[in-house]
Amino acid sequence: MATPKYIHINDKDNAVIALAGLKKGEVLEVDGEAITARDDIPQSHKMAIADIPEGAPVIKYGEEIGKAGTDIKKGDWVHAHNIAGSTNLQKVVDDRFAQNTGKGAAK
Amino acid sequence: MNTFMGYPRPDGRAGVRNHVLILPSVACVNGPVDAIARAVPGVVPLYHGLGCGRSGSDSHLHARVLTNLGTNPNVAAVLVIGLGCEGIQGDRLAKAIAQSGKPVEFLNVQTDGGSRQVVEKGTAIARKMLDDATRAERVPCGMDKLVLGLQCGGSDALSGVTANPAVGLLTDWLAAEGGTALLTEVTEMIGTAHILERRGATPEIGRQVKELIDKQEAKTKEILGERAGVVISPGNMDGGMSTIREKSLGCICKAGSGPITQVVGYGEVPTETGLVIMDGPGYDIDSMTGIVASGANVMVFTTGRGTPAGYPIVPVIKVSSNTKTFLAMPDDIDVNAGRILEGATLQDVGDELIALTQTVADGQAPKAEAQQFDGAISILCTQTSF
Repeated sequence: MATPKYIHINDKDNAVIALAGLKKGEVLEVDGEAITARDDIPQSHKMAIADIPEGAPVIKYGEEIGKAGTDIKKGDWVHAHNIAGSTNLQKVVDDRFAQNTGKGAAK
Repeated sequence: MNTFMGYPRPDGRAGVRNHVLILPSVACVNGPVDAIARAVPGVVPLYHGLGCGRSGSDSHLHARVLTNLGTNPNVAAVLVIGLGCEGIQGDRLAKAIAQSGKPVEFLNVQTDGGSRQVVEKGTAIARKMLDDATRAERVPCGMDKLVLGLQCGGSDALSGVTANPAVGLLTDWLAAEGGTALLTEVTEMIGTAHILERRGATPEIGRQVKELIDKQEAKTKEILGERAGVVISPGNMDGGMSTIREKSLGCICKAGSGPITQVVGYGEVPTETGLVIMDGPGYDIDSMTGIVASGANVMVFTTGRGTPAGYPIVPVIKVSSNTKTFLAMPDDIDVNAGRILEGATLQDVGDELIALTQTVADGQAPKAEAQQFDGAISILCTQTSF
């Protein structure tokens, strides 16, 4: 059986999951439309299949998972760098450690 | 209505197994419990670390959990072993379990002749209980007696894409059959309160769901600060999760698409069928105890990274989110949802799960149960010990 390159979980979703990852410039056909990846997209990460203006919802599972922190273009890698307020627990732990020790305080 | 071959209980529930349980009221008597279990192969000792030295609220919680582990429909009969001076008194525990109508016996180490005599007497009782249980025959039981615990652990980015949505199909199937599915791990619902609220069968149930998740979010904020609503673990982020809501949406896929019929406390037995939410933590092992005390007779456990964890009295079906883990842990994973990435449909895996759940209910052992991968259980503590 053919291995699908992506999963579009819900019809309302404006991002799909690149199952094996994508190279920048690689073309993915999503629901009949050819979309060119504008970034390298790591395995199981998301690619926008529509333009998502700053402040608009990023939709997966048919629900908003966060708001675009910047203008996201069709084909962009969608992740913490362009979703507003997305925070990695490691950063919280590092910040707290820095606060508690007074060393290497995060800027 | 579809049926499974099970064991009806006097309280109206039905088991998919017919275990004789040796239940310590307090951890101090785990030794005699172990001695009885070794003397009577086939009985199930339920070793735990609690039963005393806890504040009021945890003491009440643990009394409820131990009682409802005893009343779980997979249990045919219970021998409670008490100490005598413990917080959760063995005789009261035995009486509470006996209200379910199943055979319950009780021995107290401090007043029934000390450990050796308790082991001798207990061995005779356990042997008799096991003989009786072995004679019981399976009879057709309505699928409405099936209570499915939903668990995930060692999740990865694909858990919410393959394994959890496939389990969601199983949940929807069971709800349509009149059965019950228990969704828990409230920490993994953070960010979805407004979504799950809408799924309440009534506005009041919706309000209870929202309150439960809001409470958990507030608790998490106490620890992580204001960023609790957006924070996820480094591993999740590397795997492609961008926000906690995205992760939570993947987690609650296990609950399918039906209405939420009731919200119950940790280890509390629901009075409704359908999709029930139980207040429980994200830690798998504590969560599983709550699910079993709430009356689950079968559990389905999705995993990305893989885990051998089973449970002493309930068969646990393992579902991997990816083929790599399925191949890396061939003796642990029952169903590979990763084949969705190789061309199978979600429905294919959902159908496989529905079929396997029925054969497991009829008596077939999933891998964790076949290898008796259980042992000591863990029970949620919300406060420190004294």
